[in-house]
Formats: sequence, structure tokens, C-alpha cells
Amino acid sequence: MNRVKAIPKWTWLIFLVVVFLIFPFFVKKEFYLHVMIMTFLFALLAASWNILGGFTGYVSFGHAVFFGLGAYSVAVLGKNFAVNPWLGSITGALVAIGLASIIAFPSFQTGLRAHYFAIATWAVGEVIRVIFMNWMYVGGATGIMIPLTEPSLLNYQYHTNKVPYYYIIFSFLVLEIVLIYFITKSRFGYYLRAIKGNEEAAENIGINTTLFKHLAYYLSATFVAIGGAFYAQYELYFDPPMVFHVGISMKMILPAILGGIGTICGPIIGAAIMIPLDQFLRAYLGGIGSGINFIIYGLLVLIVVVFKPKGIYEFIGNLFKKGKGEQ
Amino acid sequence: MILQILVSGSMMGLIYALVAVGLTLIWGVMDIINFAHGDLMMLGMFVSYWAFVFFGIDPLASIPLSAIGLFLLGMLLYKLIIKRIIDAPLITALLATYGISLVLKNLALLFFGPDYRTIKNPLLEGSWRLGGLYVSVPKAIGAIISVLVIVLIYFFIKKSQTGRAIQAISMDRQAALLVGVDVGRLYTITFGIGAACTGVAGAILSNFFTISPESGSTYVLLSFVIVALGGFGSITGALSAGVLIGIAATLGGFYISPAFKFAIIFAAYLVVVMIRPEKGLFGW
Repeated sequence: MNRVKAIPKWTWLIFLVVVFLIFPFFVKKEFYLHVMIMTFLFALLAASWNILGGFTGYVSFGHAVFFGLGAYSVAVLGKNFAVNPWLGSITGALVAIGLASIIAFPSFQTGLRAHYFAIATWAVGEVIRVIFMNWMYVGGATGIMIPLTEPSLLNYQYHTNKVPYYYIIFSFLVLEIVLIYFITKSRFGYYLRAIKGNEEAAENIGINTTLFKHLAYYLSATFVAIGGAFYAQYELYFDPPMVFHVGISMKMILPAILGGIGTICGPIIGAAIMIPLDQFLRAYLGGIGSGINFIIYGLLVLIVVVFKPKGIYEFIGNLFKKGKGEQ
Repeated sequence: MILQILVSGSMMGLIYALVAVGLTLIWGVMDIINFAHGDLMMLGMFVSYWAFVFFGIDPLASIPLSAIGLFLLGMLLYKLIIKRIIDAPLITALLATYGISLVLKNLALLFFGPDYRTIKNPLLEGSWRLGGLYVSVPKAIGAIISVLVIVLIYFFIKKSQTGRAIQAISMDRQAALLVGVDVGRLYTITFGIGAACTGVAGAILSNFFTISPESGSTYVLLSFVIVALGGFGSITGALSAGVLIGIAATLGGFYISPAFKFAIIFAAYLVVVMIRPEKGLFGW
């Protein structure tokens, strides 16, 4: 029985991957490609946030800081030292891990309560944002431009051609999901859930909770930094609010919560709903500068949080279960 | 010079403290982190602004108006949304208030536009000279009113029947329910009072700050930090932490750079929270 069930699940996934792979051959409109790229990017970010926030229960409001560090690492290294963007991405990830460890060591070692951890991460984000706003070496408030080079995979830039970006971010996302899938199946994944369930009990049965919280945080920060580096190479120009604003952190948290916190598919389903909605609302209503798109966005958040607090993923899952039960 | 900074800093700090007292009440009693706190304050500023523009009511006189308006809005928000998420995990409550914040801020943007507005020629202008000190009149009056309101709330919570009941539910909700305390009604009142604090603060700030839909954003994290330093749910803690932060911000703005004014405070908060994680500066 189990085997029969398992096969359709996999074919379903492969079907989805194939659809996404051939998508750019059929859809040529730039805007749709842009929406897809943003959706993949924020699915990646939300899934990364979820590694810490969803699996361990430590909510971070400051994940935008890793996004910004990734973006700035590529940009500054590329602009001032002509460093290859791929190398820049790796550096960005290392810088992000460095900052994460500065936050993590005192927080996890002293057993900071979730409330304080959340505010502390936000405060770190604000401090870093202000520093970058006033740091002339990295462009200050005017922002920074990525130096233009020949379009190629090695140079990690394709100027206005969106198709290669589409495939790059899609591969990152698939890579991350596969990794997270294996993590949840592994001992590490069980430990993380044990920490979320009851940290003290987890510690009592001999799990080194501190170590695993550190690991989850660094993994999470790494992926966010890689996403930030991608964003820099994709936009080719950005300023501090574009990458460090607390709204960016929120855009990682919302899909994870809406889709289903602490699940693999949740953040991706969440992003698949929130990001296109955001992009289309912005495109059709935002031009007026009215903020109607944010009002709708906010109302949607309220509706989901109040009526479906466990997220859309569970809701969909229940629908499927019901269907099967009736058969 | 130092004395001047201390005086202006503590005046601003008292006004920050008022915003933070609203937050700490909601946080301490209901265990809800209100992300929309700054936006409620922004609405308070707009109440005063429109009262001034349309009816010529001075911001000082519109404080009760703004307070009552925000009190009602706070109760409405509780009945509509907060009530349903009161027992949900931390993150759910956070997102709900973040949703409220998004909606309020952008409704203001939709109806009032993104412009920065100021109230011209209010009653309170200029500054007093006390010895070698310059004391800005609107800030001084604002600080005095803030203190009065904080004292009022303090005695309301400590002495009145309702206040004692609120204290009771913040200590042990189950026990309070058992002895017949109407928890739902008290939560509504608490959220209303918390919002009313931002109404008063908004009206005060509209005297000398620019008013725009974005005006509240800075104050959210700032009040969080004050609350965390002062200890959750502690009114006196919020008062002392508010003054301290007002002074620190003014000092930092003067000696380092106005751009880093709040960044310095957030950095200081990080240090405090690492050293005394559970208690803040004043708790024990």
C-alpha cells in the first residue's frame, strides 16, 4: 500500500520540476519571468528562515541582515577588487555566518528567551542598516552598482536577459529543498524538532541543543546570503533599504507562516501565493503610489493568521486526506 | 552643554516612555507583542493634525480627542483580531499585529498621501531660558503631560478595582478566571489603554515632529527596546528606561552623529540583553 502511495507523490514532484524547467520556453513575457524569479528567490529565503524559525522555534526578525550582507559582499568585492561574483557569494555566506555567530553565541549560550531573541535580531538588523546607510566606502545611502561584465555563467550576470537568472535561482531552490529534505529525515532534523518541542527535555536526554541551534542558524544564514548575492547580481543596483529593510525579513517570515511553519513545502507554497500576489498588486495598483497593494497584503495576512493559524499547507493536506478517506 | 543634553534628552525620553508604557501594558498583561504600536501612534498624530487643520483645535487641546479615538480603535482591534489569537503561539500574534500595522500604515498612505506635514503656529512654540539652558516649550509641556498620564495609569493599575483585576490576570489568568474576573472585558480595556497611550504621545509629538504615514515606524523598535530594558509589564521600568534612552539618544546624536542616534541605542540594548538576558536593566 505504502509503495503505491509513494510513487504518485514523486511523479507529482517530477512533473512540477519539468513544468518549471520548460516554463521559459513557453512564457516569453519578461514580467512573468520576473515574478517567477522573485517567487523562487523568496521561496528560497522563506525556506532558509524556516530552518531556524520553523524547525527550532527561534524566531528571527533580522534575517534581512544576511540578505544584505550577501548582496554587499558581491557588490563591494566585485566593484573594488574585481572579485568574481561566485567567490563573492561564498564570501558573503562566510560573512553572514560570522555575524550569525556573533549573535548566536551570547544568545544561545545565555538561553535568551524567544521574545528577546526576536528583538535582538531585529536590533542587529537596524544597526547594520544604519551603518551601511552612512558608510561611504560601500556607497552609503545612494547604494551600489555591480560592475557590468560580459554576460556569462562565470560572471554571474546576464544584464536584461532573465532566462538564465530563472534557471540559476531555480537550481538554488531545488538544491536547498533537497538538502532540507535530507535534514528533516536525518538525526539533525529530529534534534531540531526536539528543541522546538521542549528544549529542556531535549537537553536532559543528552542532545547538545546549543550546538544544533548554532548549526541551524548558520545554515539558515548561509542560504539567505546566497539569495542576497543572487539578488545583487540580478538587479545590478541596490541601496541599503532595498536589502536591509525589516520588510525584507517579514517577506521571508510571512510565506513560511502562511504556508505552514516547520514544514518543507510550507514556505514554498506560501511564497508561491504571496510573492506573485505582491508583484501583480504592485504592478497593477502600485503605480499610483497608494499602498492599496499593502492593504490587501496585510488583510490577507490577518485572514490567514486568524482563521488558518497552522498555514495553508495543512489546510491543503487536510483536503487531500478527506478526499482519500471518502474513497 | 552636558546639562542641556540631559534636559532635552530626558524630556524626549519621557515622551518615549509614554509610548513604551502602552506597549508594556499589552505585553505584560496579554503576552502580545504589538507590532502596530508605532502605527497607532501615527494615527494619533493624524487625529491632532486634522483637528488642527479642519477645526483649528490646537494639538494640546486635541490630546483627549486623540486618546479617546485611539482607545476606541484599540478596543475594536481587540474585538476583531487580537481576541482570536490571544492563545496562539508567539509568532502568530506577531504576524497578526504586523498585518494590522501594514493595513493601518497603508490606509494612512492611501487617504493622507505620503507627504511630510507639520502643524504651523501651534500654541506652544519657542523655548524658555532657564539660566544657561534652553528648554523647548512644546517638548517640556509634552514631557509633563506624559508623566501625568503615566502616573495616572500607574495608579489606575495599582489602586483601582479594574486595575487590580488586570494585575491579577497578568499574574495568573486561570486563577483570575476561577474567582470570576471577566478576562475578555479586561483584555479589551488593556488593549484600549495601550492604544490610548500612543494617542496621547502622538498628539504631543505632532506639536514638533513631522507627520507622515511613516512617522510611527521608528518608534516600534524603540519602544520594544525600552520595554525590554525596563522589564516586561513594568510601568516604572518603562519610565526609567525611557528617560535613559532619551538621554542616550541625545548624547549619541550630539557626540557621534545624528544618523546613528537610534543605532547606538539598539547596540546598547544588545549589550544589556547579553549581560542580563531575562531581566533588562531594572528588573530583578
